[in-house]
Amino acid sequence: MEKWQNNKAWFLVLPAFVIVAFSAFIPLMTVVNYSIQDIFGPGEAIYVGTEWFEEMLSNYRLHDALWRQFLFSGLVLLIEIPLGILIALAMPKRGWGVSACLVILAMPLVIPWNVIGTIWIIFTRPDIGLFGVGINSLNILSDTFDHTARPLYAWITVLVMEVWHWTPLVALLCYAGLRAIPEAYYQAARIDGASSWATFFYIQLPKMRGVLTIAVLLRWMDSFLIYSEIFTLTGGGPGNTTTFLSIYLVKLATMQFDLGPAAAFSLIFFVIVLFFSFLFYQALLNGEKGEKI
Amino acid sequence: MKIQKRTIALCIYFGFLILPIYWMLNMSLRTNADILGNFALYPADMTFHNYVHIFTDHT
Repeated sequence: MEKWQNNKAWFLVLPAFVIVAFSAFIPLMTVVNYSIQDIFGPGEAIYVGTEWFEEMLSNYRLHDALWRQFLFSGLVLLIEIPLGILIALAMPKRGWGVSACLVILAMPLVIPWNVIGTIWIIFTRPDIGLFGVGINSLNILSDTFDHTARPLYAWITVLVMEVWHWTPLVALLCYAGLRAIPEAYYQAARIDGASSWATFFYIQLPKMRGVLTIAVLLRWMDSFLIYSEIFTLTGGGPGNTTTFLSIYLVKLATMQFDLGPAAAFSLIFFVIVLFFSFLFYQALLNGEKGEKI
Repeated sequence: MKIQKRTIALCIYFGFLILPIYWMLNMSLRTNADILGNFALYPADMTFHNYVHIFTDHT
């Protein structure tokens, strides 16, 4: 193949390159810069090497926050993905009901995130909230439902809020996946006398693999990075029981002003998210290849 | 019969989706004293004072 003599086309890449540099690369390098120095004040910084990384990796608070985060994200995926699929299956396929369902489903998705936190504070308060008052009036709990006092109730509140907020997204994605299945598949299934379970497992679920991959990835990353809603709702409390990674990071960086450790933490956090997203993506991609054989 | 069960389940889920938003709306149409004083499922004497307040308050 002959080499191009005129390489001016490379200049067309320049704007994109500059934008990426300013929006991603330079901020990231600033964090890297902070993570290897001890900042005493403006112009006073001492090179400390990997000290912050070592300190952060052996920090038990970070370990606690990390396990909490894994538990939270795992529970979120376990609840939201099956629920989303069920909702998508139950939704009407034609008529006015479709648009009505889509509008109602889209509602939690268009509310600002810190407003979601505020809504759930009010909704679950044991004195004025419908959820709090309702669950207390049933008298099934041994003590009053109050997410500011009991870690378990704080967890339940945070999980219910997360499920309320993001299951519609999973449902919308699954619904789009279901609608894309040609009618011929269902006709063939009917001719073969397939049960509705068989139709689900051999037609609908495999055909939804693509959208489910996106749903799992999005929900995993977003729940791993969750900040605004939980900061508004519990502020990481009671104690540290709902202090997830990003909440602990902000405490470290803005309240204690430990910029070096916080920068090191950010980079560790970034690598964890990147690694798990890659892992999920590969697992789902390879599963797809295995199926085609 | 099966379709009906599905629709009922869907309606319950939509109720769960709407209720927190409705509760926020309910709170926005009542005075502070009313909210903290008595628990009510709907605003008995509706007031738009809160909305007037947020649009006219300069602080």
